[in-house]
Amino acid sequence: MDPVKPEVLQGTLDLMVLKALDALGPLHGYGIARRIEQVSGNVLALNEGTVYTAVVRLEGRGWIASKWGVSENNRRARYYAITRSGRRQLLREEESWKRFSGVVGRFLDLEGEK
Amino acid sequence: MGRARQFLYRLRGTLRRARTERELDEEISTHLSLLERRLVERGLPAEDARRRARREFGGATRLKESLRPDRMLTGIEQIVADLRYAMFSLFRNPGYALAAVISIALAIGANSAIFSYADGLLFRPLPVRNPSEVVSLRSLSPSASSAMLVGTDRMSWPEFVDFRSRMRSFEGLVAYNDIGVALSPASGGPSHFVGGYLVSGDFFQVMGVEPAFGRAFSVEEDSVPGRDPVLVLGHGFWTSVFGADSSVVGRKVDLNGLVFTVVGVAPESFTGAELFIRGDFYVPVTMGPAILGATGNAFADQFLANRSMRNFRVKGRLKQGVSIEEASEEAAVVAAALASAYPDTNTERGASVHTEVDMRLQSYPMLGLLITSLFFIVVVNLLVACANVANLFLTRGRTRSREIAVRLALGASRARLVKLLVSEGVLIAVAAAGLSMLVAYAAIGIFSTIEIDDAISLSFRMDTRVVAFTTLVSVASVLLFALPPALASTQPDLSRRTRTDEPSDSGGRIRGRVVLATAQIAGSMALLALSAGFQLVFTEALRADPGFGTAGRLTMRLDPSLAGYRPEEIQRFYDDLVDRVADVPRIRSAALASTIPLSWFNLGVTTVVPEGYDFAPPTDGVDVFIAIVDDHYFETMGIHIVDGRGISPTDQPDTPTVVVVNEAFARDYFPSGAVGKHLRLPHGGGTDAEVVGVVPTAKKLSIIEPPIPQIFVALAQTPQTHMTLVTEIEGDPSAVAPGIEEVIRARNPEVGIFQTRTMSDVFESGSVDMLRVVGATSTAASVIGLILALVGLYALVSFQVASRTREIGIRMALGAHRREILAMFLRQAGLIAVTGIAIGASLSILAGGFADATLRGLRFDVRLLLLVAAAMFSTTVAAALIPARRAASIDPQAALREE
Repeated sequence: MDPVKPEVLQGTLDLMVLKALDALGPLHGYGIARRIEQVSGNVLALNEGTVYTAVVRLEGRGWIASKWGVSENNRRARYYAITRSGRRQLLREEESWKRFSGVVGRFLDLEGEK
Repeated sequence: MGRARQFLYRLRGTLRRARTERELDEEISTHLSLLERRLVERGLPAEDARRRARREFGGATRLKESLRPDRMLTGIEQIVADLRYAMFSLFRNPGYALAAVISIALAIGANSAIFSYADGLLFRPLPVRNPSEVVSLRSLSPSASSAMLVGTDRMSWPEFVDFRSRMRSFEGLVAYNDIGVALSPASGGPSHFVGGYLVSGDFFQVMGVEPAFGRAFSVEEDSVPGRDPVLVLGHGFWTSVFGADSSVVGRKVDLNGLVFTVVGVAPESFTGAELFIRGDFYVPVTMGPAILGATGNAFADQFLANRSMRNFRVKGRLKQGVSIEEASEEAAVVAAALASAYPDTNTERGASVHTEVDMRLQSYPMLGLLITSLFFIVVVNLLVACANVANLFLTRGRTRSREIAVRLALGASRARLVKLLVSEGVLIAVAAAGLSMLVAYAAIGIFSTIEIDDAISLSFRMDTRVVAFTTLVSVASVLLFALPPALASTQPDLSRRTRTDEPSDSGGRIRGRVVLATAQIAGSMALLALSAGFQLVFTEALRADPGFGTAGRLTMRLDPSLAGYRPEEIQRFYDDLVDRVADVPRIRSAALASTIPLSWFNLGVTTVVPEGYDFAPPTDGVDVFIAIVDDHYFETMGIHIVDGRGISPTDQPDTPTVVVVNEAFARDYFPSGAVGKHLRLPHGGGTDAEVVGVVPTAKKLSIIEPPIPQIFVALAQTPQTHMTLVTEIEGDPSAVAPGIEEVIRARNPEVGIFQTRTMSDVFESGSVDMLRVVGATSTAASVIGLILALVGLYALVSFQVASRTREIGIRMALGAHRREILAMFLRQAGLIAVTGIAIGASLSILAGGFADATLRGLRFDVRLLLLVAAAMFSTTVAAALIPARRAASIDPQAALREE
């Protein structure tokens, strides 16, 4: 698959993190990375560290909140959870994504019709 | 909303930076440990797992770096880091930092004080509404007069009324006159001799001054002479004498025996229509004749009616859109109309309109010179300080060139680097601003201790304008001089930068600094020479005979009108008094005078026509100072008669009018001998008086004034109410004062006795205090200038020594003696010193020439100049000697090894 453009990637990554947290509840960085890896089926070749870039962005916008907890291997880790405004943002993003893909889909169908 | 939130998030991150970093570290290491665990579970050995995990994670350091802008405010963080670093490096090189801070603080602090001084003396606007609209209307006298005479530009009441009705340029025109009276709260409190103003009806309205309590009076109340005895109290007076009692409105007070009703109190900010004359009360002009009449003043009824009795100063508020020039033109036209309508009194009298500052300069011409010379000092000092700061930063740039080059090579952006260097400047600016505030505060404190005549109020404040000025100039000058060197030294010319020893700086730059040092020395030499010159004049003036005795004499102002004496009775009172007082033990002699030297009280000016002089119509005579004295005056004051005689007991109302003149008058008008000549005095429509004697010219208002003509007339022939009793005393004058007062009160307890002072006090406060402060200030400023110049030279030579260390090492290795090295640097420094001193000396001679006109006697004493030059030379050489000796004591091996 062709490498995806970084800006699109950024936005998409943020969306995926939000969705992951929405679906699975509070996760730490490693957990989020695993979830994304799982769902995308390793297609998105990302460094694990980029999760943190997304997380910091999201926390800055107030869409997720963090709390310290203990990880599976008994170490201190920050757990992130989606906030109410985060959920609203997620809905917004889902809407616009559906709309976008709908439109593109129609175009592609058009092409197909020819 | 999102931005605000983000900002807060970042702010939090910045403030808790350390913790944020730690937390991130922890998160990452946890993540890594989890990754490791997964790999180990898959069967990788621990070491490999760790490495693999790291690799999968991606650059942790880079991640942290990239996250930082999101987590923290890098802009502020940078600035804080820069400042911290700057503070650190300044502490490591305290010498330079200190030199810069002190230079600026001294220069700016002193200059701020001088600014406040100038403000208090000259520039402070009148405490009225829109002061820039308020201007003065002067009546221009055509007669010949000395530059030092004051009060010859006033108007008479009828004249003022004419101007008021005819001038279209003014929204309102008011007249006022300062007057001294005895005032007491009618409930029988003590009498205070106070100064206040007679003002025309709409004075407060035109000036835009709202009373703090009660009301001002109106034009209505100023229409019929004597009808409306209303009074507005001055704020200060109200506070001190009436205890700031707000129920004072409606109370009655006794003014010269007349009953007045207080209708209001002026606001605290309003001290009077004249900057220097404090108003303790304000009454309508129409009450003037009554007030004067109560004290037996012969001119009382003429006060408002006589067109040629010019008592009033006039101010007005310009109409919107009218310029001063336009108003002045109109005034001239009106004056011309009056001149033709009233040829007897107004021939060739003109009129003009002036700003307040203009008026102050006219009234006190010394002020102009004072302010100008002070500002000259200000500018020179500031330049010198700036030069030092420039030097400092240039040197710093030079010293750090290697560090800067390395930073540039490592990829620092130029902007970043300039910010770093300038942050040192910022710290110095802040420190300097703070210190200069302290210096200014102290200096202003010193100025505030000047006490001049009682009636004059001066106030020097550390007001917001001064503070703003100080801060602004400190910051501006530092940044101005920090920026160019910072820019210059960060030029991306790496190859030149990394070479450590720039073999003798590019000629141009060094020359620039030499010129700078020379200029500093020239400037401070000029200042020193001028202040020394001033001190010389001043000391001489102090030591010189002022023309009267100052020691062992006591003065007291008397007001017998308070005892209710009628004019004839007053004369008998005075005759009697002098005899009685003379009987008091330890009193050698007693006399009366209407005004004493170096005092502004009762300063009399009159216009006389000397015999044999024809004054072409514009001029109506000669304006001279006049004093009315009794027959003991000259003896008591220690004034010897040069020619003829003084006033004698035989000079009575029924004998020919006599006058005694001083040498200045005689020289000007009767060069062949004054005794026996006649002159015409103005009173009683023109009295012929014969000159019977000549006395030496005494100082009238200031000890450094040029000789001023003065005449003396006999008390017996010119009755006066307010006189000053002067007594010559054996021993301590102040100890005898109570005895004298007793005698006076025995005669009549209600006679007013005011301002008992010894003549030496009068002498001191008359002009000495002010001059002393000026002298001290200019000397202090010059010394500061010298210190700055010395610092500059020291810095320059140090710099040269430092940058030529290698060269010195080589020379010494090749056999040069220490002495030769020393001489080499000293010669250079010496040349700079000599050039600077020469230039400075010439500058001071030039400046002295200008000052000569007003400040008589600032001629150049060559010996003094040489003395100052020698002193400067030795100090500058000493300053250069320190680094030069360091050069001479360089160990050649260490020098060669040193980079």
